[in-house]
Parts: sequence; structure tokens; C-alpha cells
Amino acid sequence: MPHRIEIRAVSKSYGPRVVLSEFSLRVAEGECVTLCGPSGIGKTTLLRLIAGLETPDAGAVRIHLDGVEHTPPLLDGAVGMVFQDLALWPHMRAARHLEFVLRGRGLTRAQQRERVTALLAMTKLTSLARSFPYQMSGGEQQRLAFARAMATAPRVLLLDEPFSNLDATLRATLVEELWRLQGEQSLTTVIATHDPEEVSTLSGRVENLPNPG
Amino acid sequence: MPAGFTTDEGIRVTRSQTDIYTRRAALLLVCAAVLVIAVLPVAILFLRAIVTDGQLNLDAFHTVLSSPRQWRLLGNSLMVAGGTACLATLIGAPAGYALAYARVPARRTLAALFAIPALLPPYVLATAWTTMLGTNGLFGAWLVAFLPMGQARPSPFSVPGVILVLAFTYYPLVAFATMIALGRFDGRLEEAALLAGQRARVFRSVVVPLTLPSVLTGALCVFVLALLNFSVPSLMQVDTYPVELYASSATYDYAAATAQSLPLLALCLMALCAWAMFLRPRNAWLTGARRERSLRVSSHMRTWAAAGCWGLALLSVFAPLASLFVRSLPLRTYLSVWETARDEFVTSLLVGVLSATLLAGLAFLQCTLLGGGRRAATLMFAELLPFAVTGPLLSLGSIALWNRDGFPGLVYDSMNIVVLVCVARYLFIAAGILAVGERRLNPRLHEAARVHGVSWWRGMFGVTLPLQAPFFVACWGLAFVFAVGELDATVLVCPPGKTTLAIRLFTLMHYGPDAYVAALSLITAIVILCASACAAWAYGRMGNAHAASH
Repeated sequence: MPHRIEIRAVSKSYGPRVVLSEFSLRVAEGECVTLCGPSGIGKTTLLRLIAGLETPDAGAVRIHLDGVEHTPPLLDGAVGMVFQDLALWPHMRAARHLEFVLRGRGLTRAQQRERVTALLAMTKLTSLARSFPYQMSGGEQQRLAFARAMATAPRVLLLDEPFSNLDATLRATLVEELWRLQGEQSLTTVIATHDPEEVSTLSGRVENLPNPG
Repeated sequence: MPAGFTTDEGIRVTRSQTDIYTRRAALLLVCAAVLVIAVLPVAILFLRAIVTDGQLNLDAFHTVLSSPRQWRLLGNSLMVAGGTACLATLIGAPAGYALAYARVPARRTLAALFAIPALLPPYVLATAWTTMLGTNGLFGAWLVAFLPMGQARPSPFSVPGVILVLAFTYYPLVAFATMIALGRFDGRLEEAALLAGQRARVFRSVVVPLTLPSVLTGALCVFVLALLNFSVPSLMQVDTYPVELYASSATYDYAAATAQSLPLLALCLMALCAWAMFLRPRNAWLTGARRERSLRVSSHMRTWAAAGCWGLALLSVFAPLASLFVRSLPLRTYLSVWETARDEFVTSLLVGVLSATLLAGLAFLQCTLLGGGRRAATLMFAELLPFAVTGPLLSLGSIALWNRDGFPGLVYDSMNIVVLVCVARYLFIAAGILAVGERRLNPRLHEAARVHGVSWWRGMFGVTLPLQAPFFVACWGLAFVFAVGELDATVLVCPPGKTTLAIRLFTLMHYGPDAYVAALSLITAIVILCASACAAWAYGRMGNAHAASH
């Protein structure tokens, strides 16, 4: 199976603090990898490097799409990400979040509406399409962040502590939804978590991040 | 690198180089605008002052810096600035503690009243105070009759008079700095200290030391503003450095005016360094935990605090405005003012709207494109220069830059030059307001747009601007208020036949009829207060919606 993500001896520091030191990782197409480790070990930084929000001090991050090697920041919309604090836009309604991301991607208005409806149905948010994030529960907000990440039909999905602050029942439901989507769309997924209990609920490969210091 | 691909769902996935280029072009445009509007007028003056006929010539600086008169004037300015800062702190800090710590009743109304003197142009308040306390003032006879010194009472047209007027103009800055500090004060610190000490001791040993850096920051701002103020000392016939600088600027003595600006510039930079070294790190002690204090001061204390606050509002807001109104009577004076100053009224509004829009737009673009960091700090430092060299010198620099043939001449011969000097003078403040807003935004909100392929300009208008709206409105409103009341920088550059309310008022203050001047001052105050009220209302509405959405 070809590799979708390739991280080659990446190092990253913030001032004197070394977060990642010559870390390497390969993630195959359609594979799900859980990055595990305590807080401050560099999980979020690694996801941000893959998303192209940060650049490595040394080493390289490569993403392979359709046989071509890319360096992040990637083609717009090829990566979807659920941030740790979700980063939902507080002034936008749920449906508007998805429309905003989909605009300018060669879809007609009707196609956009159709896709928004499908995404809301997929995440069971149809009845909350006109709601603002602050009018939603924690789980609903998490699902909206997930729907936004999936809106552009990404090839790579990055999830940063996606199930923190959720109760066990909601976590199980969301994990189930995630596997269903991953299976349907052959997504390459990288999940960062510090919670060993959470790791046990997730299937796929588990990578323990080494302590850089 | 391929142009991209289309997914099975028909979604186009592309990497747009255009997006990167338009962002860079916008950044370049903003930097160029700041350079031309704010930096070049100052740079060109300094260049003219030190280079004569292609030779380095520092004679003007030598003459100015070796003249005893200049040092005496600088001493006067320092006395005015220091006295104003001390008096404003003595008035403003207790007012701030009373509003935010003692939590007096109707504190929102009181806070709104306290903001009024800071929003009104200082020369309007100077007119009001001289109307009240001058030899022919409304309270002049009363003071002569009741004060023991009788006819020998000090004249308001003196250094103490200028200090009094400026302190009652700028004390709100200290009051609001105190209130902001107390708003960020974690009540648990006070509760923990109360376990070991009495309330008064806790206030002295915990609350005051933690909020003092913020109070001193307010005092430092007052010091700088009083140091650079030209209109009040000029109106009250007190020789200070900015008044001398205006005299040199009005005779187009470029070298002398530029040399005279150096000590003021140095003092401003010293104040900035002092703030950065001593006060800024200590401001960080207040963590912004915003935990409401559960402790309350006694009702007896609160009553005294409320009485003090209302007394201050009466003295600093109602009395000056009422004295202007009484002096402006009969009411037909307003009709006469309207008939003769209608054009100035329209021009002022136009200048205010254009300047505010340009200022808010430029500051927004600058903050969005640069964010925080060293580049943003450098640009803001450059924007501080036109503010710190005083208004008259900035206008002289703008004349040197724009009074040329061709396109610059078109700008110079129209009201555009007035708009440009207003923008140059207040860009520093506008950028500061929006930088605060930018810092308060969660950076992940931008990143979420970026990761999901939203172009930077769509992200800017779709995410940043709506979330920054309260700060944008505040910035626009303040910029409008400053531009309408601007006198120091516009008095020399206004094209003939087109003047603003501020300039007309300034020219009439010296020889115009008292009733007319009072009516015109009151009209200027009303225009500014109406605009401020609208901006505050919009800010409140947007701010509430913003807070609810978080």
C-alpha cells in the first residue's frame, strides 16, 4: 500500500524548548494512526506540521496524492482538521460553516446546498442547521467541527484530542461514526490524544511519541 | 507542481498561487501607504533640517539646543506635563477605584460621563474653563467675592491654569486604566489575603500594588498628551515648547521647527521605554482571570464614593458645558452660528468620515496581515513618530511632501491633505485598538479557515472582520471624534476657503464674540458626543453579540 503521509526526521523547537527531535513516521493510504503521549510531547505540533500551519526546523513532511509528492501547506481542502478547541466560527450558523468552506470550489449553488445537507445529515445535525455554535452542546459542536473537516472531501483527516471533554457514551457514538466514515471514504486519519483510555477505544496503529529532551 | 484535481464529489482542490501573491501585494500596499502618509512627512523634514545645499549642516540643532529660551520653554512644558499627570492621577485613580472597586450605583452612567472630557477636544474644554474661571468668566465675580485672596487670585491664563484644564481633560485616561486593571484583577487574590489581614490593609498591600502599574500607564499617557498639547497652552497664552514649535512652523522655518521637535521626540521615546521596561511586565501580573469579587465594600464607603464620583462628573462635565451654554445665550446666536459656519460643519463631518474610514481600514489591514510579532511592532513604532513630533510639525512635513507640482499638488490643494494629516497623526492609536482586538481573537479561527482552503481575503472578510467588528466600530468612532476635533495638525494645512469647525473656532477664540465662540464650541461638542454615543451604542450591541457567541 502506498504511503499517504511521510515524515522524515522532523525537528521542531519553540525558542529553547525542543518539541520534536528527528521524528519519523509513515502513514499508509486509508490507515488510521493514533499519536499518543503526555501533554507537551509534540502531538499537536506534528498535526500542525502535516496541515502546513507550521514549518519544520529540520527534516521534511511529504504528502502523496495521486502519485505526486506535495509539501504542506497542501492543496487547499485536501486536508481536513478538527482542532483541539474545535475553532468553530462563533458568528456563523452550522450550515454557514460548511457553505463557507465549500464556496469557490467549482460547485454550483445547488450542488453546494446538496453537499451541505448531506454533511449535516451524516453528522446528525440537520435540525441544528440554523444554530450558532454557542447554541449547541459539546457533542454537537464536535460533530460540526467534524462535518467542516469533511466538507471538502479531504484525503487526510487530522484530529487533535477529538474526544476530550466528552462523556463516555458520546465518545463511543462519535468513534463509531468516525470508523464508519473512514471505512466509506478510505480516509487517512491521524489522531492525537493524551488519554490512554481514549486510545483503547480507537482501532488502528498506535504511535507513542518519544520525549525529545 | 500540478494545478490540482477534482474529487469524486466534484469538489475542486487547487493550490492557488494567486492567493499568496494577493496577500503579499496587500501587505506591500499597506506598508507603502503607512510609509507615504505617516513616515515620509517626518523623514523629509529631518532630511531638510540636516542637509543644506547637499552638505550636512547641524547649525539649527546647535542653535536650538544651546538657546536658554528653548530650555526654559522645555521646562515649562515639563512642568505642565508633570503637573497634569500628577493632578489627573489624583483625580482619575480614586474615580477608577470608586467605580470598579467600590462598585458605586449607576457606575455605567458615571463611566460614560467620565469619558466625555477625554472625547472632547481640549481647546473646547479650555474655552469652557476660561468661561467659568476667567476674569470675565461666569464664576469670576463669585471667586473674587468669596476667596480670601480677592483680586489677587491666580489667573487661569497661567501654567497652573493650563494644568487644571488639561488634568480635567485627561483624568478619564487614568480612571479607565484603573478600571481596566480592576476588571482583570482576580478576586481570589483578595480573598486569600483577607484570611490574614484587615480589609484596609489588604487594599493597600494587595489591590493597590497589583493595579498600580496600570494606573501609572494611564498617568504616563497623560504626561505624553499634555507634553505634546499645543491648543490649550496657546489659547491660555502660556509659552510651552509645542507653542514655540507652532510659531516656527507657521513661519515655515523647517530647520528650527525640526530641531525643536527633537527634545519632545526624545521625551516621548523615553516615556515609551520606561513603560516597556517597568510597567508593561508588571501589567502582566493581572492575569485577566476576571473572577468577580465576592467581597463588597461597606455601604457607608460606597455612599461617599458615589458622592465623590457625581461631584467629579458635575465639575468636569456638567459645569463646563453649562457654562458654555449660558455664555452662548441668547439662542439666536446658534442661528447665526449655523448661517456662518454651515460649510465648516459639513467639511468637518466629511473630514471625519473619510479619515475614520481610511484609518480603520488601514489599521485593520495592517493588523490582519501582520498580526503580532516584530514586523508589526516596527510598523507601529514608525506610526508613533508623526504623533510624537507634535501636530504642527507633522503639518509642516506634509506641506514639504505634498506641496509640489502634479499629483501631490492636487492632494495639497484640496481637503485630502487634511484627511491625510489626520490619518498620519492617529494611525498609531487606530492600529493599537485593532491590535488589541486581534490579540483577543483565537488564532485557531484563522487557521481553521486556512486549513480548509479558504482564501486569505475571504477569511479576512468572512471570519476576521465579523469577529473584530466591535473593535472596528470603536476604532472608527474614536478616529471620527479625533479627526473632527483635530486642530494641532490641521491648522497649517487647511486649503484657503475651506476650513473645519476646529480651525474656525481656533481663529475666533482670540478675537471673536464670546457668545459666538461658546455656541460654536458647544456645537462641536455636541457633534462629537453624538458620534461617540452612536459608536458606543454600536460597540455595545456588537460586543454583547460577540460575548454571547463565545
